[in-house]
Amino acid sequence: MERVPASPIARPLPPRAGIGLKPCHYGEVLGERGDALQPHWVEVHPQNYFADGGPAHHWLDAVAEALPLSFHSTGLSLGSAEGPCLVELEALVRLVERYQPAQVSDHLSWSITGAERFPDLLPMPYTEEALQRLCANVAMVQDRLRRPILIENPSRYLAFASDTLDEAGFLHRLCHHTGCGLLLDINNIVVSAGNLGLDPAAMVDAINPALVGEVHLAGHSREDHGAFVLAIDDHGSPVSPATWELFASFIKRAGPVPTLIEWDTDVPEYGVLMGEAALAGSILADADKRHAHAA
Amino acid sequence: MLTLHETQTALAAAILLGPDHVPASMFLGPAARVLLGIKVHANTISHGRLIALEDSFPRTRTAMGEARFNALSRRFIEGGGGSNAPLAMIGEHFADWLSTGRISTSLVRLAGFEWAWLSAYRAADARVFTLVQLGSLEAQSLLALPVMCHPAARLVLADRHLIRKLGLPRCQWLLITRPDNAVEVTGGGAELATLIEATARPVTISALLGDLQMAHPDANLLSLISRAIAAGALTLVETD
Repeated sequence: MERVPASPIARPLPPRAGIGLKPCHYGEVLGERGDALQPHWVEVHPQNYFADGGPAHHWLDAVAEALPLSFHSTGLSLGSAEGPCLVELEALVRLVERYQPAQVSDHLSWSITGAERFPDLLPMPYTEEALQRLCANVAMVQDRLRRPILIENPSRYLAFASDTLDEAGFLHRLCHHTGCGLLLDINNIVVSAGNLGLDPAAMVDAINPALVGEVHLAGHSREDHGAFVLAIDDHGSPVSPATWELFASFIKRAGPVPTLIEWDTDVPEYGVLMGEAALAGSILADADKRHAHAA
Repeated sequence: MLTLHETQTALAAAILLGPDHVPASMFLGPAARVLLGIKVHANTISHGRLIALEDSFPRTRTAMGEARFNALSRRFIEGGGGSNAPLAMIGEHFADWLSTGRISTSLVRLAGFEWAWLSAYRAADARVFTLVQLGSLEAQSLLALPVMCHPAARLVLADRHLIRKLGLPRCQWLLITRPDNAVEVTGGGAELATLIEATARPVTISALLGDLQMAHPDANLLSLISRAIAAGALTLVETD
């Protein structure tokens, strides 16, 4: 396994619940509005802070002073046959150098081919060729960032006929070859399993918890197409009961892991978001007690 | 078996041109099911781009009416507008594109103003040259002082509809600035445009006065420079 030197990190992510930071919640997160509870850490999409300057950076400066940060990129196009997006990478390098986040992650997906750039996380086939390309791209990004990153399992709506590996096997080999870790998105597993007729519990059980540096929890919507119900990963509702159940089962096995509540569309009031974070926090606290007791 | 590049090219073609462009053997499952999967991705992409345009041009959308704005946004995107840009930059050429259609000059200028506003909001930080600093300088020191346009300063042509919407007095140009971390808009005439143009590169106050004097011999230059400074349009150039 290749080793990527870790960069100095001021504050690691605690193995507790965090939230996706939205501009409408800056005041509450910074404790400027009444007695609103603060999350233990926050995650941002670095693409929202690629501006050279201005108010967005002033807010992020203040948040970074108060809380540990995780950067969850959506634009590197790590799975592109043509290589990752170097413009995005350089912008990310500058932002990482400025804020020194505890964690940096992106997705097992691609967004760019030729001159076309799609604002979506498009699926990759799980083949040896795709794995080799992804390993090369992830290694290049980690070398440039001078730190290991986490890769998130995707939400899938399509199954490639050419797949020769299952998702967990593909991800584990990626980690082995590059030294990256995993961002386990349990909602994505529920979505993919529902859409592709797979067993979500078996998919979670197949993940090696030692590789998981962060967990994502989110809601999804469902579209009824008669013979088929399509799950859509829209991050616009509370975490589903199935996702909570899989999360509890994974945390029981893995112990406490930094866990994020993602809510990106129809963003609710801060209290609702923190209510979801409190639920995740209670599951993490139970696991913490069990692990302390066992030790 | 398709290579990774061929697979990605085929999926891109399906998203852009329709599902007929996907080889039949690429995905597992019945054709109707595969079509649903491709549609999810196509809808996500289209929705993301439309929302990014909406967010970039809220005043244009209101002035134009939602239905018309949405129809034009779709035409812009379907014509390849912003297809190689990140979402934050998708609107960069939208006003120019509007100007090639049957859109009123007023709406085109409003869209151009909104993009300039957004670009000012995102521009690099720099300390603004203030009236307090100006007042603290001796005449000789002031004349030798090198200044430059603040990175967030933008100048756009005014329009009577836009001026009315912004509640500004009649003017020829709109100066967008970002003093104290908030975007502000002030009006001005041709002499203000000359000042902004002349400070695109570092220039001493003495040379700036010379340039302005030549272009606008009748203007009150000290008042003009003071107004530009008050608006946060200038920054001091550091010298070793």
